Amino acid sequence: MSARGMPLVIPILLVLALLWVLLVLVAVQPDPSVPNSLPHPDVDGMMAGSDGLARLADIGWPAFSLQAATLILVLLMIALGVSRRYRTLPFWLGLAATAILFLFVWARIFLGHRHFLSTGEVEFLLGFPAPTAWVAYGIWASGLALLALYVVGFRKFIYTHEDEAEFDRLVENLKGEGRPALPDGE
Amino acid sequence: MEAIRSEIIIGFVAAYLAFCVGVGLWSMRRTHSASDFFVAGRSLGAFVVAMAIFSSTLSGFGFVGGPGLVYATGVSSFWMVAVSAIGYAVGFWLVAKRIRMVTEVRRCLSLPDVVAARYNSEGARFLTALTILLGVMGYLATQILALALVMQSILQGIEAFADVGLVSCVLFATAILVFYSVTGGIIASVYTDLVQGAVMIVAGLLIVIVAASVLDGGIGQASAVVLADNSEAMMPFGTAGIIACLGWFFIFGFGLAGQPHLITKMMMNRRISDNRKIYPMSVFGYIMAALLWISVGVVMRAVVLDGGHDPLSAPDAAAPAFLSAFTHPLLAGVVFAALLAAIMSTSDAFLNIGTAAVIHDIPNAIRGRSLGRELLWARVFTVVIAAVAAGFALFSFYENERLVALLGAFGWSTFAAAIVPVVVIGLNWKRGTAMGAVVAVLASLLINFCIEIFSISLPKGINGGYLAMLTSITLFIVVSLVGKRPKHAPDIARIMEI
Repeated sequence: MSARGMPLVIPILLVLALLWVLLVLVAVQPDPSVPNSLPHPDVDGMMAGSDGLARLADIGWPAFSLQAATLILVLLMIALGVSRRYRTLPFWLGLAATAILFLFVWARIFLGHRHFLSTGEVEFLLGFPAPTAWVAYGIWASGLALLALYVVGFRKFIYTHEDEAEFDRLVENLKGEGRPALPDGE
Repeated sequence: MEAIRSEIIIGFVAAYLAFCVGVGLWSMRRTHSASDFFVAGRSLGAFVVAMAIFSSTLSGFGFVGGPGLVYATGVSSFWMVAVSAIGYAVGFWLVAKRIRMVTEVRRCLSLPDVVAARYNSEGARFLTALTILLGVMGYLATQILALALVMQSILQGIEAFADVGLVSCVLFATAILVFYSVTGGIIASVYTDLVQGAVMIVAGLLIVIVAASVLDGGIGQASAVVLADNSEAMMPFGTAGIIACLGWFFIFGFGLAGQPHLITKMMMNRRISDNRKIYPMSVFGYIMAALLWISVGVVMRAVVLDGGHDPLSAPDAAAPAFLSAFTHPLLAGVVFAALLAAIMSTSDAFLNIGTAAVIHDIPNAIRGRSLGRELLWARVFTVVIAAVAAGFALFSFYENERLVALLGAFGWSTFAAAIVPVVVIGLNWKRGTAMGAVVAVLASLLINFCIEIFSISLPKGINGGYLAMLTSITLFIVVSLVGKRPKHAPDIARIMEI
């Protein structure tokens, strides 16, 4: 079976398998030498994070890969929402650009945090430490990229005028068969 | 000043509650059938649906629990809220179009109707309805309890109501909620959502402006204070750590499209092409309202650490304490009204889908038809479900805290794990089978229930909901692939081609 003819669910299943492997890999790593978090020493009701480097020592890269695979899964699922005949080159290019944005944002979050842990240096971006700003703004932006693709491509690959006419025909046919497509009420 | 402040807040809240009652009366005249009661006759405009979708998503948890989580754990809970734009993407790309089509051609009144039509399976319908009913009871009980606690705290600010009890507040809160939900059904629900959403947007925007002015240097200074105290709290994974955050990303990202009270709204728009407008408006509304979650949490953590405010009695006091200490009474009035709006907009949605499960879906699954005189029974069972949930809420508060926690476990994660494979994937993958759907729902119920009942904690802080959802999605696909290729009714087959 060529890649072009392969049902999309197969790569989805492969990514799910990868997620399982990575999740097990995370689970079997040795426990970090420090607790994940502790009660804040001065303020009741607040938690404090423990040593960041120690927390990430063994699970860092498996966790990075886990999230990268999750992001790919999101985009494959998005593609599943588009009829196969509309998964054209422009659609895939749009999705590929979104994938690059997703992975770029995730890399900035993860690598920025590691850089801070190893150097103690941090820059601020729009009110937050830069890696945190990538969470607060970058993840929103990733979602907004999908929104833009949806709005721009709505009549090209979500619900074309032909689709609309086809659905209207279906509704009319059902009415003709005596199955009213509108509720009877009581 | 404090008395005037309380009176202003009560004035806003009273005006808001009077509005809800008015909408109930107005929409009663527009509710003539079960279709009107449950899906608003599929006649709603884009703006109304958009506001209903986003305001149903953001419950009281977003306005109280969210800032409390940031106060307690730092940045960790940013992951729950920032991922929602991706969650809406999954919902609109994969669900919005086909759920609306199936609703129209099969005259569906509920999500389990759509599932039954898609899989031609009463078993799948029954399990979806059962999941919804279990989740609704837990969610609704927690929302009613939150609503009553907020009302009690507001009323106690005035001398005449200083001794008002929680039972009175539960009764009053439930009565208002039930009144407009019974009289106007989903029509009252979505039109109150419209105003509830607008109030939430205004509150979110104004609060972020106030929050930025609390400390010289704005949010940046607040971040710097938190960072200096404990760097991990302000760095991207907060105190909860990377695995917890990635679990929330998965559950709140994919899971948003599996929330029945939200995707049911996607069955109600007048035209399918309206989704092109509904999607951006929903996301915009959510982002505006969610600003409160992030800004209040960070600022309250910073001012407490900085000595500008006493430590809070509990993390959930972050938002009320912020309103009390830093906002003008008029703004506090708007935000308290927004808080009630957030709770009530989610509660009325749950009441509606829970009622549909009891009088329409479960009878249909068991005996092939719903109860006669559906509209009458819908109104009766709206009262019954609200009363049972209020009873759970009070019993939980006074006798057994674990009861609502247990039912609450059938909340977001269980909805997500059960409904994402069955609806989100199932509506877009013709090979998905009824057996796959049944196994996926059962697995999600079993895993979430066991993890909660036996208090199982997974290694490295892996979230139980994450495990349940990954399992149910995988099982749905694998069981479907090994089973016989399903035969679809001609109308469903055509819809899945469009």
